[in-house]
Amino acid sequence: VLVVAWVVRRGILPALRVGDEDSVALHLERAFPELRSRVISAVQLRRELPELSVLPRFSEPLVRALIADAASAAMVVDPGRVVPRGTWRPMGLAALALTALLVTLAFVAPAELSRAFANMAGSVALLPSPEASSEGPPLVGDLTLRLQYPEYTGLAPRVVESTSGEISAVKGTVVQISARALAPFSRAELQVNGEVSPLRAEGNTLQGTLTVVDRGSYRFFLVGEDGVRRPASPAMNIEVETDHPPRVRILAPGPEVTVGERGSLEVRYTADDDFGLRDLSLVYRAEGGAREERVRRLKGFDRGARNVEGTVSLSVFDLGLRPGERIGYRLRVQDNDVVSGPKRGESATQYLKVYSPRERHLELLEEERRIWDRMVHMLGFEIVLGEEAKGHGPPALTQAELQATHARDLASEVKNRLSSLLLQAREDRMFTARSLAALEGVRRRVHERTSREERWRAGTVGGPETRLPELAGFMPAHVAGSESDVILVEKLFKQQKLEALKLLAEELTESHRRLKDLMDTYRRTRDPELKAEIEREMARLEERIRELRQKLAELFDTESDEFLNLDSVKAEELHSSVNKMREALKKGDLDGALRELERMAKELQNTLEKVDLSSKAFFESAFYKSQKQMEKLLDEVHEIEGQEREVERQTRDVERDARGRAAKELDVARSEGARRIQRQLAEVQRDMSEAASSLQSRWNQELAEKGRARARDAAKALEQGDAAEALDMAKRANEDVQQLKGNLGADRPWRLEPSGSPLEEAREKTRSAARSLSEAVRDLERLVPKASEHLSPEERRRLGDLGRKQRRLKERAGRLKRRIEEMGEQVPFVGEQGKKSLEEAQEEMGQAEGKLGRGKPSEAVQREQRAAQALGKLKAELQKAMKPQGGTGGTGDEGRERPQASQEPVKIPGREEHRSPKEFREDLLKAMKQGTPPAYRDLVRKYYEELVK
Amino acid sequence: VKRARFVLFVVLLAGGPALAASEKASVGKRAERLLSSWQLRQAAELLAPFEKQSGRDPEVTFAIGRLAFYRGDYTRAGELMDEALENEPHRPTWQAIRALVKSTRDATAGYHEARSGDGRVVVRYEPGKDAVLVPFVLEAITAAIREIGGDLGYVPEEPVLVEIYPSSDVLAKVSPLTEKDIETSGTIALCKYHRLMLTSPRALLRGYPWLDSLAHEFVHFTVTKISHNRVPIWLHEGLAKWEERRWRGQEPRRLQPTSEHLLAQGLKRKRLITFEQMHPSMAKLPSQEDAGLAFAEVFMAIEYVYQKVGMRGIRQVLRLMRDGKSDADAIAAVMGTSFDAFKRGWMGYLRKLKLRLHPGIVAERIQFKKKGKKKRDELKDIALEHARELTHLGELLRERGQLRAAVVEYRKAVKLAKNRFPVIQNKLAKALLGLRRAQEAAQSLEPTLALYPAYATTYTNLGEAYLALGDTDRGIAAFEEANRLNPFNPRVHEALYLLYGRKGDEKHAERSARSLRVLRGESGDDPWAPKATLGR
Repeated sequence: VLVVAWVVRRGILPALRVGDEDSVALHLERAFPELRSRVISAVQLRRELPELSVLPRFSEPLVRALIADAASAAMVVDPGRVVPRGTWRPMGLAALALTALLVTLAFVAPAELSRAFANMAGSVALLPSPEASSEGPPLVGDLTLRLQYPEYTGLAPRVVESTSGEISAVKGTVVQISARALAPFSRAELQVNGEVSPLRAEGNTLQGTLTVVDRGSYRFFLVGEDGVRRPASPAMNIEVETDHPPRVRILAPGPEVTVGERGSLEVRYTADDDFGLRDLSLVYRAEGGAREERVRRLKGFDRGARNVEGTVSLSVFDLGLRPGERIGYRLRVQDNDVVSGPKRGESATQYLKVYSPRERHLELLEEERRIWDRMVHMLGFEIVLGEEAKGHGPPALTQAELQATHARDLASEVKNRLSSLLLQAREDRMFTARSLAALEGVRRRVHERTSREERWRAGTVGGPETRLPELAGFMPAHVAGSESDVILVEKLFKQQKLEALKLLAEELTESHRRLKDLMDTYRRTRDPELKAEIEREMARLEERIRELRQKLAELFDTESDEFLNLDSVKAEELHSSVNKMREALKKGDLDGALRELERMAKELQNTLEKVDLSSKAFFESAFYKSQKQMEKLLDEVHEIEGQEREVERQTRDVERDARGRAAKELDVARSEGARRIQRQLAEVQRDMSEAASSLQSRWNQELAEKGRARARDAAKALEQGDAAEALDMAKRANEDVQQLKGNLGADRPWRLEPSGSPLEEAREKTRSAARSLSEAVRDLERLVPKASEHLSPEERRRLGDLGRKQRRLKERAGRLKRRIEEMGEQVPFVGEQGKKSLEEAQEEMGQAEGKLGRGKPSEAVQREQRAAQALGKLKAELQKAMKPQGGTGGTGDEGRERPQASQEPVKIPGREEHRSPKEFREDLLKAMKQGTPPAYRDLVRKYYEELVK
Repeated sequence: VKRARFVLFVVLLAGGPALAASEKASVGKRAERLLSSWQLRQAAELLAPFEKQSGRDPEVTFAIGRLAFYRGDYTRAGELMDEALENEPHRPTWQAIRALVKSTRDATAGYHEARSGDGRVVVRYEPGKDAVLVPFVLEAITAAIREIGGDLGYVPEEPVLVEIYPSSDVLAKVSPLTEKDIETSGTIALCKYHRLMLTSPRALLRGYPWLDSLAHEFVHFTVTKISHNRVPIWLHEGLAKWEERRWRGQEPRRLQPTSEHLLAQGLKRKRLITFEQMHPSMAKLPSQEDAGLAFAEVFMAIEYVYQKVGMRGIRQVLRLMRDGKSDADAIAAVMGTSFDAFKRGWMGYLRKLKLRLHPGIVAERIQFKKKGKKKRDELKDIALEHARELTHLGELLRERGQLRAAVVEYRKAVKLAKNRFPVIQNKLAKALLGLRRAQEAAQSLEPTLALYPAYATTYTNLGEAYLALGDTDRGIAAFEEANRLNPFNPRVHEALYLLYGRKGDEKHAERSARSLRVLRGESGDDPWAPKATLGR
């Protein structure tokens, strides 16, 4: 550049000026003073000649004479003196040399050349320093940079040698710069973004440090020995690399998930950052009211963790959530940037709903209401079908068939939805056994009616004259049944609504209790955290009160006198109490808040009582007739049961007498058989004891222990000469052992575990015990004196009488069963279980009758006992159904017993675990191909099908 | 003589003012007596000289106040009574009257007032929907003055003041009755303090024969005026019940089926309400059923007197009582027998009538609207459970558009309940009208009228059926009757507008249109030009 500038300035620019006549003339005059200005005058006057002819200011001949004189004078001068030889030579040579150099470079190192041009252009553009453009070549070389990155980045230090000087690093990076001075200097400086700092010099090596903070440039300066400060390098760029914010994404669960009250949620996530993650937090906010957003730190990451996939567990309890609450949550990660401060990244918001059994119950009730609505439509179709049946001729038949099709479609929908509802309702503890029984009955009756109608519709034999009367024959009963069912479900639904209101009132009371606890604790501790929790609990309480008000308003909107006593429920007052409490707390008047809470307690108690009374009153009025029918049924069942027990007592008397006589004839305890049985029972005890010690499962251990204890009791009874008791005990022990055998798979012919394993050991012992027990039972049966063989004629006659009595009872039970079936929806709460109990009683009574007839009192007693038990079960069911609460959450209600839901967290498979289900399915498919014992073939097939699904 | 002159002087000096005071006091007492017997003209004449007198006797001041109260000027009445009480504060009776006047003034503040064309009837009402009642009230009372006044021989000397209250609690504020009394006895109208008081039919769930009730109160007004308030309650109520429908024209006086049933039942059970038990007011009887029975008894007592001595005899009884005879003496004198013989004769008359029991008939109870309850279950009235359930099913089906099936269910309910519960027939009629079977709808409703002639919905549905059938006259008759029971149903006026238009009766069509505008709130200001606004 300098060369080019020099050439231009010294050569080209002067050359450009030659075209000016005056300049040339003056140059000549300066070079040859002897010309005495004649040349310049001639040049200038010559330009005037054309005008002199028009405007004769001068004498033209004189001017022409002057020009001629100047020309003659100029002719004698030496031109070599005007333009000295050699003036253009160095410049031309320099230009040629430069051109040659550039051409050479263009061939030899084109990249470097172009970078040089680019740098030149860049530096000129960035820092248009006058020094850079005006000064000579760089005065420093061998530039080396040592980059020390901030600690949080986890990056190792880096050395860049022979660099162009460009720096690109994250903020906070410390750069040690060293360079070699190419010219002598007295001191050196480094200018970074306009700020100058001295460089250390050791010989010609310069050293300095800069910290990357902002984007900009730096350059070297050397102060020569002459004291002149010269730029020693072009300006070199400093680029700040961006530290991106971290990212986090939730992989599982999905956008909305429901979790149990005491459950937890496994959240699988992936997070990354360019330099390192610091910690992971949960940000969440409960919906409704003015709930504030809360942040909970979940975990910190290992130092330098940049890319993480993991799982965190969110416990509903720890988060302080209550059933029915729904929160919006997201994950937040922070990086470890300590230079600019940590940056954060957040996942999308997802939702977590805490499972509320009450809400679920309300959903089921809503479905029940919808089904009821469809039942009303179905009733409409059936009524019109009944009307069409009264018509005559083919058009009436066509209409009837069309109507029957509508009714069938609707009935099919009702049945399916009822089945689905029942399936879910059985899992709902708030659904009473009575409601289940009633809905089951409705479903059965809908099915029976529509099946009959469908048979009629599908039948094609006969014309309108036969088919319409056939339809008219059964439709009135169908319509009546359908009417009763619609009324029944509606009443049931209303009753359930009131019961649900009671549950809400109970939740309110519970929330109030929690609030009281919190306030009491706060009074003692004054913990600000607690105050926030109190505020949250008050918000919850308020939501419940709002719901109560809404539900009460719904009742008053549509219902009438049966809910009248709910008029006095003062939901508004409850609400105002919360507001007053909040105000008192704001003012710091804790005593005032507690007083308000106390007042609220009374109102809540009042609410609960009112709702309860309302529910009971409605039940008693709505189901008055059913209750009366049930009372009659109960009386009858009670009577039959009493008589059955009497038959049993009398049979037992006969048996005891006969057996007593037989026992006298045989000293059981001393017989040879008894000794053998004692040995067998001792073996059983030993085997069971050993099996128990080898077993892991507590359930199986208990079973083994029970079997052992019963074998011991059998042995004792035998020792005391009571062979019958011993037999009974041995049989029971046998049941336990057989069950254990089944549990352990010990009844399978193949071996599942390696021989000698504890489980295999237990199986072996169980098999052995089962063998011994079977023998003991068989021997005991032989040993027990047979009452039937020692009956007196009088006893035989008594047994005969009892048999006849038993038959009459059986017939009565049969009549009762038929009546229950006929009454149908009039006794809606007698469920299938109750009917089964009655059937069972009838069956046992039949068996007992037979045994009595054949003179077998021992066996008859067992049957009679079972019959009485079955009747007792039916009686209990009836009694339960007659209570207004209908057995909610009660005990001893076999139909409603179910295990508690597991509290274990639900494992959500991670990304890397996705193969397992596929492999599992393959295994299952393979297993399906393997052989199955014939008796289990169907069951196993179904099982596998379900699993694969 | 001198001494005598001195004594006379002393006597005059001391006794003059005392005599003057005694004169004034007797004016007050006489005025009170006149006012108590509603002789307002005479009382006004007596009090006129004292109207602008300063330093009046408090008794006189109070009497002037009471006169203002009876004439409906509550503000002035209150001021005068305050003035009297300032001088004599320890007068509990005055204080009680003063409280009532204040309460009346406050309750009726802002009411509008309308007058009949001849100025003989003045109606006050709360601005708004109650304005719809005004033309009908004016019309009915004008007719009552003509017919009932004609029967009993009375022409009002002053305008008859009628006040309409929006709810029963306002009635309680302006009368001696408590809200509980009103609720228990079903009191909807009163004649007291020289005016007729009426609770607006919109305060009730299903309306009631409000114009008949108003005419009933007008009979009380007339009887009180004629007899100077000396008629006992049984005679008062008997005449009122007997004459209450006379304003409609020459309709035969008949005992309503529910009253007939109550009376027949009472006779059968030998449990009647005695004349003494009726005192002091029917509204104080323990239940609406007792009140119904008492009304039926006294209705038949008057019918018996009428049968024996005609209208002239009845007028004679009232005159005799005005002149100071007791009810027993007056009856005995007119009928020419003793009062006991009259009672025996009346009982014999009742037995001879062979009154019919209507098993299952539901006495039409006055039911006030209750706050906070948005929708009433009208099926609750159906006492037969299965009929109620079938009607309910019909409702469910009708709501879901299954009209044909609904009709089947309603018909089943009708078959069970016969005509005992008109709500069923009305629902059936609605469904039939929905199916465009108007003839059947009319046929299903007509039989219920014999037992329930005051069931408003029946007339509305019947009107709809006749309208659909194109029977203009019967349609008008049905809707007019519906209006006499519940004038707040816009559909009634809409249909009447249509029907009168069809008939070319512009006057009545315009009246219906105006009623409709009032009910729709489109009339802007009151359409029946209020003469003045009270208390503003």
